[in-house]
Amino acid sequence: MTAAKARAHASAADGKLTRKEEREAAQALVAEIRRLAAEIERPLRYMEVCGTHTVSIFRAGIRQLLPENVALVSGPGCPVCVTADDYMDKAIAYAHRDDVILATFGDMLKVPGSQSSLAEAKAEGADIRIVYSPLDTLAIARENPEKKVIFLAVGFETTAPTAAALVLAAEQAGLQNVYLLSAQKLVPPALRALLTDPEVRVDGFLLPGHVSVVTGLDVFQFVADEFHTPGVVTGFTPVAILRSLVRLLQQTAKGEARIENEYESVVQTAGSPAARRTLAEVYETVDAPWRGIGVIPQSGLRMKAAHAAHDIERLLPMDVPVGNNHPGCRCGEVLRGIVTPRECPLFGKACIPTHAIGPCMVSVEGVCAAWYKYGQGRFEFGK
Amino acid sequence: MLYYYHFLEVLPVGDYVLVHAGFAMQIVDEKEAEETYALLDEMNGAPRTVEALS
Repeated sequence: MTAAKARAHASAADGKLTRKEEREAAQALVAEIRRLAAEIERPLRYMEVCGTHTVSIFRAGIRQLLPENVALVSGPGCPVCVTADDYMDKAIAYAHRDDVILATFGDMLKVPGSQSSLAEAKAEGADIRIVYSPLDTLAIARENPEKKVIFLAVGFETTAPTAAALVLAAEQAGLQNVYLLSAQKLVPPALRALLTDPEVRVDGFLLPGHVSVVTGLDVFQFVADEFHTPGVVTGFTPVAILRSLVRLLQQTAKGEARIENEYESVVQTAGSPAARRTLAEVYETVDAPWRGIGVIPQSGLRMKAAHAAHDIERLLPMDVPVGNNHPGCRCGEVLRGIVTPRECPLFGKACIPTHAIGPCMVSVEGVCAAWYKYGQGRFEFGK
Repeated sequence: MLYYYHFLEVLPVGDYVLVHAGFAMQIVDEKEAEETYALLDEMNGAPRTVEALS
């Protein structure tokens, strides 16, 4: 096997067609979506709850291809975007301590807290290191035994097991100066919160492909059983997304509600039991705040007592005021699919990617960032 | 420590895996992986070969 081949890449997950095949497949699927939508007649709203889906939908221009009565709305699918201000304030406060090194994925750096950001803290001299894997934290901790090395554990089910593995690896290696600051979250409780929110109307979900790699399909069954709403686990190519939309429309047309898997090349029905074992070994579920949505019961992950020695919030509690979001920012409503970014008074004016006010504009997977990047809100998509 | 670099029940050498944040998350379909690499190679200047795979 060549080095290039050995270099496994996330995009290996998406089935690639030739351009001609892709165009023909997409055209046939759009025709089928139009046929089904015309048959159903009433306005339909399908929600994606994955930042990578959001970006793929915009990049491919899928919203513009859909018939008048089919809207795609974006849900709370970007972990950075749903992270509350006071988490960022805590991270910044830890970063400013002389005895701390903060390790984080790069996308957290520009996220605004209530006063500042990690990028500003770094400019002011805080020791903040960007890592590509939580395990990179181990080397930093080994080289800096006198420092507390805190990994910012932000993510959904896909990423949370990797931070849990960091804790287990640190314990195995006897590295006591490795800590997590956890704001990790679970997707199914958020779907339940959306489905019980009277302001939110959703006819079906494009379920997140890479979350499902870990969770499997069973955790989404309540969406169909309790709320009679269909869901399709979806891959990330435009054709995969269109194919999932067809499957959602087919269910809607028949008044059915099932959880289906359109990403079978990667997602197994049972998910990854090994990843879930790692999660269960390190974390327990707690009520957790989601930006713009509020506290969602049992939607957060905190470290179990057995691993408390690696929980920075237990070792060194950091009291920060509960953050106030920027008064004009409508990120919370955007994250629930209630308004589109264009309805926010800040969008494209005070709030642009180079000067983001809300987290939906900061993250490259944020809904506002996608709207801005792909057309700056000029197009009439997502009615 | 290597144990923690993957979340697979077994680690069959030669298979393709989905990697996230440094961890092998799942074994993926070989045909899709081959096509992806053909496209990546093309992106890096190699002649187009992806049609030959399907």
